[in-house]
Amino acid sequence: MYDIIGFDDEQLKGAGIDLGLTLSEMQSLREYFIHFGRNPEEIEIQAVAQAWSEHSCYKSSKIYLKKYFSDLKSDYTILTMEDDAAVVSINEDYAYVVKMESHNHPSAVEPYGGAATGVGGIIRDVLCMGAQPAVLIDSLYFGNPENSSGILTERFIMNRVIAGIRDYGNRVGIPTIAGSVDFDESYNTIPLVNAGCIGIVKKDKIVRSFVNKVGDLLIVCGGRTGRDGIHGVNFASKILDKSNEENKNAVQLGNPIIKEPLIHAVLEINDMGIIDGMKDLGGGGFSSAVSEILYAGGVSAEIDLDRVLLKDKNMKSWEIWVSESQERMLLALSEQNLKKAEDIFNKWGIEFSVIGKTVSNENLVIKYKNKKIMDMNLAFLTSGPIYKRDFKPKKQTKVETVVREPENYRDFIHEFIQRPNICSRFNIVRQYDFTVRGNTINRPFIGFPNHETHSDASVFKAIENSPIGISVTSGSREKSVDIDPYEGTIEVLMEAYKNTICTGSIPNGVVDAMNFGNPEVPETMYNFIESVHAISDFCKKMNLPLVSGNVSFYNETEMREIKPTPNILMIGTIDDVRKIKTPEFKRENDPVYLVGELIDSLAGSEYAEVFKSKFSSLTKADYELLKEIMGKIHDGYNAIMSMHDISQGGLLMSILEMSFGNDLGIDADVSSLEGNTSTKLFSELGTAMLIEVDSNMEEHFLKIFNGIPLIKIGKTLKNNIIIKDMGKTIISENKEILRNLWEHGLDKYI
Amino acid sequence: MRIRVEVKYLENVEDPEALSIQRNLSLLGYGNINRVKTYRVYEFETSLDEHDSFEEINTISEKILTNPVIQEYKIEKISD
Repeated sequence: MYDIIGFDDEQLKGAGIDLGLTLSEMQSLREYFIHFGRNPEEIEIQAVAQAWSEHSCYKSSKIYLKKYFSDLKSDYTILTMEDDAAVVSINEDYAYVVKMESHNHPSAVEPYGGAATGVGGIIRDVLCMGAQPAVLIDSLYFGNPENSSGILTERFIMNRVIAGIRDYGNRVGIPTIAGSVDFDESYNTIPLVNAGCIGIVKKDKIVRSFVNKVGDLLIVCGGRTGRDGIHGVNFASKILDKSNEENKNAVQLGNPIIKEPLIHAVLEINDMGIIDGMKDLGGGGFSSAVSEILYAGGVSAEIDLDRVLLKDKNMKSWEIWVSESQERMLLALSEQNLKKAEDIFNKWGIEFSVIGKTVSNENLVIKYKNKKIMDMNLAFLTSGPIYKRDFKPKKQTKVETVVREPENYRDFIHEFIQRPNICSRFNIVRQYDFTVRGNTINRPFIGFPNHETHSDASVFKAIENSPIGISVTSGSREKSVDIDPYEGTIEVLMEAYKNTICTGSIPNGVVDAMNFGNPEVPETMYNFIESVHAISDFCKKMNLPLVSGNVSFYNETEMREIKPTPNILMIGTIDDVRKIKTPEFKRENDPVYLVGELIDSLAGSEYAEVFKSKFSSLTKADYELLKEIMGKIHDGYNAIMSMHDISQGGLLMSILEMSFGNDLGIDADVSSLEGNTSTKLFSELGTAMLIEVDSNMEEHFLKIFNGIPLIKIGKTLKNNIIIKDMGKTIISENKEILRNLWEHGLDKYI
Repeated sequence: MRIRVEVKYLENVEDPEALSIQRNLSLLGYGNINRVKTYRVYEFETSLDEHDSFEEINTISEKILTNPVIQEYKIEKISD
C-alpha cells in the first residue's frame, strides 16, 4: 500500500520507479488523490501504471501521429486510426480489416511464446472488429546469426521465433502468406517481431471498439485469467535488462487450440447482430480493454471482479485486473441477448463470465469480495500524459565513400547470393502453412512447383463469390533508414509500392509498424519524427490512406539500440485474381526492360555491407514516377510477361530471382546504365523494376511506356545467366548452380 | 556414457499441450484427471567421461535445448 498523498517528491520518485512512472506522472496521481482525500488502492495504482505506459497511451508518439497522420483518409476507408484495427471498403458489401503490431520485447525474452502470442494477439485485434481473420503477415528482424553473446544465441532466437509463428498460425488455421526476414547486427539479442493480420467483414457486421449503451453486460470469454502475463505492458516500456526477474511473469506460450473455437463462437454471435461493442484483451489486460471500451463510448461500468474465471485462485485483485493472459475477448451485449450468446459459447465449449454492467457515470467502479476497490475517473485514468520530447538529428560526419569492386565477380556473386539477407527464405517460410483456407492465389513462392522463386507480394482471394484479390507485402530497409530517416522511409514505402504493382495490384492502404529505440534520446526521437513525416508525405502524394499503425519504442539494451525500423505493410487490390503477374521469366527470347530510375548509389545496400562502406546520405528518389509506371503497366498489361522490383541485392538479384522460378535465364548487357559495374548491379535505390515483355508485343509496349525511363538490358534464354558490362563478361553460368547456392544460404542456421 | 536430460516448464508457465490433453481426456470421460504436465526427455550417448559429459550436456541444455525464462532441466546419468 502506497501512502501517496503523504509522499514527498523523493518518495514519489522511488515509488514511480517500481511502477514505470516518472516523477511528474506520480505528482499528477498524488494531486488526484489529494483532491479526493484518500490514498489509492493497489489496483488503482496498477491500473494507472498500465494505462499511462508508453505501450498503452503512446505518450511519446501521440503528438506526431496526430500531426502527420490525422488527415490521411480516403473515400473508401471506413475506420482508420480509431478502433482496434482499420476497416477499409473492398466493394459494396465487404470490407477488409487490417492491423499490424510489434511483439518485440516478449520475443526477446522468450522467442517461441513471444512470437506465438504476437500472432494470437493480432488475430484478436482483427476478430474484435467482427471480421473473419483471413491471412497472417510476419516481418522479422534478427541479429547476426553467428552471434552468441546474449543469454540466448541468435540462432536460438531465430529458430524459436519462427517455430512460434509456425505453431500458432498453423494450429489456428490461418495462413501466413507474407512478410520479411532481415538480419542486422543492431538486432543482436533484440529481435523484432511484427505480426499483421487481415480479415474480411461484411459491412453490416462491423463491430466497434466501444460501447455506448447503458445497462449492457460486459462479458469475457475464451481463456481464463492467470498470473501469467502480468506486467507485459510495463515491461515493453522498459529497457531490456539481463537480470530482470519479474520478466518471467510476463511470458506466455499462447494456446491456438482455444483460439480456434473462440473465433468461431465470436463470429457466430456477431452474425446474430447482438454484439454492441467488442475488444480483445491484450496489453494491459482488463485494465486497458475495459477502460478503453467504456471511455470511447462515453459510459462507465461497475465491475464485479469475483466473477472473473481464474486459472489460479490465489491471485490478488490487481493481478486479475492487469493480467495479460492470452485468448480472451471482451464483449458488450444487452441482457436479453445473453442466452443467445450463451448457447453459442456452450456449443463451441468456450468458457465465459459476465464481469459487469455499463452505467452512466464518470467513474469506473470495481468491487471485489464485497468491497469497493476502485473508484476512479475514467477520463483521468485513460487519457494519460502526452510528451513533446526533445529531438535533434544524429551528428553525421560526411563520409566520402570509396566503393571497391570485387576482384573476381563470379566468386563474389557466389558468396553474395548465399548471404542471409539475400538468399532464399525457403527454410523459414516453408514451415508456415500459407495455403490453408484455400484462398492464397499468389503464394510467397512462385514458379515451377518445388523449384520456385520469391514472389513480390502475396495475393489472396478475399470474397467467396467474387474474383477480387488483396495483395500484401511487408518489410523495411533499416540500413537506408539509418543513413537518412526521411529518405530511407521513402525507400521502404517505394519498395512496398513496387512489390504491389509488380503483381498487377493497385496500392490501396498503408499500415505502419514503427520500431525504434529510446524516445528519451533526442536522436532517436528525431529519427521517429522524420520517418512519420516521410510516411505522411508519401501517402499524400500517392493518394494512399494510412489506415492503422503501431509504435514500439525502447527497442534497446543497456548498451545500444536497434537501427530505426519503420515496417510498412502495404495492401493492394486486384479486380480478378486470375490476372496476377508473377516474377519468373515465362518464355525464351523475350526482351527484358529496366523500367524507372535506378539510383547510382550503393547507400544502404547489402553490397555496401559486404565491404563495410559507410554512407552519410541517400539520394532523393522521384517516387511519384511510380504512379505513372503503374498506369502504364495497366495500359500495356497484356504485353507484360513477368515483372519484378529491384530492391535487396539490386539488379543482380532481380535478374536471378526472375530466372530461379523457371528453366530460363538471361543474356544481359548493362553497359547503357549509369555508374560502374558494382552500382549498376547492386544499387537498391530508386523506382526501378524489371519487366519481361512479350516479344510479339514489344512495339506496343514501347509505345505505351513512352515517356518513362526505359533501358533494354537483354533477352531471356534457356538455363544460362550471362551478364556483360562494357565488353566484359561479369558472369556466365548455368542458373541452376547459382540457384542452388541461393536456395541453401540459410541451411547452416535453420 | 549415457546421459538423460529432462526438460519441463517452470511452475508459472502455462503448458498448452498439457491443457489440451486434459481437456480432451475429460471429453472422453476421464473426469478424474486434475492436472497434466508434459515433459521432454533427451538421451545422449557420449564418448566422454562422467565429468566432461555432464559439463558438455549442461552447456547444450542451457544454450540449445532450453530457455531459462520458461524451462528448467535436470541432468542424470543412465546406469545400464
